[in-house]
Amino acid sequence: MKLLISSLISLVVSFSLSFFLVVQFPGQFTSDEASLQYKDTFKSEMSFWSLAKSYLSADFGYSWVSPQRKVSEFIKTAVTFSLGFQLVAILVTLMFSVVISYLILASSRFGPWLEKLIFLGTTTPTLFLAPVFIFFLSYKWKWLSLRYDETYLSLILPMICLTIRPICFGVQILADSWKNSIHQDYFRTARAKGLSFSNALWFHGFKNSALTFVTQMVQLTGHILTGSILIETLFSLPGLGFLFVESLRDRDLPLLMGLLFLFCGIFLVTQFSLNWIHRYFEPRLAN
Amino acid sequence: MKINLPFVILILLFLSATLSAVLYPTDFIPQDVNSALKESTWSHILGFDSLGRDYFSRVLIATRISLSVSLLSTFISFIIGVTIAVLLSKSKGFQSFLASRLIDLYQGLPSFIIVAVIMTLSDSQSLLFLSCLMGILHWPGLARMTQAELIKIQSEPYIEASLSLGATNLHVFRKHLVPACQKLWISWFCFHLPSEIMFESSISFLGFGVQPPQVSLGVLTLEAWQYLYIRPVYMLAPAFMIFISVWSLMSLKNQTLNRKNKTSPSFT
Repeated sequence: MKLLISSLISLVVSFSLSFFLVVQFPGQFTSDEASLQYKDTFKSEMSFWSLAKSYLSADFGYSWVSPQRKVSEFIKTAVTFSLGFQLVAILVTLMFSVVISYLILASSRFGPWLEKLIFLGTTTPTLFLAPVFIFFLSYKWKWLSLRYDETYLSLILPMICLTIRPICFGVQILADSWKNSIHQDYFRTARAKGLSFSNALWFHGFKNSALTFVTQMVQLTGHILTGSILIETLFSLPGLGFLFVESLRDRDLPLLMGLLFLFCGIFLVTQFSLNWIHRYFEPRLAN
Repeated sequence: MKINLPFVILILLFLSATLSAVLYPTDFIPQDVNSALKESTWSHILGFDSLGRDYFSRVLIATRISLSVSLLSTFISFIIGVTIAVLLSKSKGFQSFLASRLIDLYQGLPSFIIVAVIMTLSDSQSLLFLSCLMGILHWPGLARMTQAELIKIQSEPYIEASLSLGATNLHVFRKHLVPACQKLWISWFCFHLPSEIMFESSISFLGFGVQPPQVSLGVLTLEAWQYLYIRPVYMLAPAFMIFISVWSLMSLKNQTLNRKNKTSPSFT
């Protein structure tokens, strides 16, 4: 029930935000005469309520740049790509951060080195990493293809560039709390009962340390969602981020408004649902 | 004596950004088509860009602009965040519940997208406007942390004692709350400034932030993107500047966190 109410609120907020930012925003957004005229008619025709009514029935109007196509068509094709890509990115992030933090804990020899490497990873901006990877991996050594040619193989490089920083952040958080669990009483008890170190780590330590990881999931998904705009433009992948950048460059206001609504909605709903999941896992926080 | 490498690098970075006119006196404005895309020489360390301007001096200027934009926005969000945290720590009951929900909502908004839209659709595209926007959108994290810290401290006996001895709220704030929050603020600063640098550079890279006659690290990366295969150095120089500034600040943050743990052991 709470989740329903908060997602309703977030939808209302994201709609009104996109309305006031795009339609009612003061100032000349372009020097192009035709677009300005378009905007004037758009502004006078569309009131808040009429737009809200059409948005409720998932009708986002027609694009300005290609007037025969509906905005919802654009969005549908982009969403089908982006949803899969970002879900895979989140899954990859989760999996790798768990595996790498286990490696850090389990091996006393490579653990400290791995930790240093992970710290270096958190400090490397995507804008530094992506050109370096593109230059060496796909241009110099020709291991991976740069262009997206609708094969999964060409998505590997974007996926690496997108997930490497979230993975490093996730590992830092998870490894920290997992390390703390080693010194706890329940861990010592489990070891004393005869469990091996790795078994105790997985079956006793992991559950408790995963909680702190869940708190940071909000930030990690935020990283991935905003990072995907940059990555999709760098590699020209046909996703939501690329569409957003294109619509801003073309000053295509109906498309822009639809996308802004969608983005804000996705962000707020994920935020609320993750908060809810967090409260579910840790009832102490509810008070 | 042990050298604090991240600190030294940070000082060097700030010095090279502020004193670029003295340290490397080549002008970055004059264009010369004849020397466009030429290789590096001793007097022009990184060569020339596509319009024949000296590249290294442009990188220095870009570093200066990026650092100043992110510093200003960090400052703005610091002021807003601390003010709101102080106000929130006094409120109780429904008021504070509502306020924290609103902050939740505000934090959930995609700031990257909103800044891009506002920067494109508005008349003004100045650096000041960009940094104000970033500052206004990025305070909730600090407000949250400071509020939690303030609530924790306010129930301590020494605050009660100083209040009952007749101290004003302002006195308590200045003498007890600010020193207690200092370490938190320093580590926040060392984490927030690099993320603002990255934010600014990636939004300028997409073409929505700093606009081309002015130059920032993101704009330089965007220009160099076309020449990646001919002159990879053009891409690597600004990207390396971003990396260095982020790395040094994050390392400083780690150091402060470690020192905090060493000096204040928990007595539980």
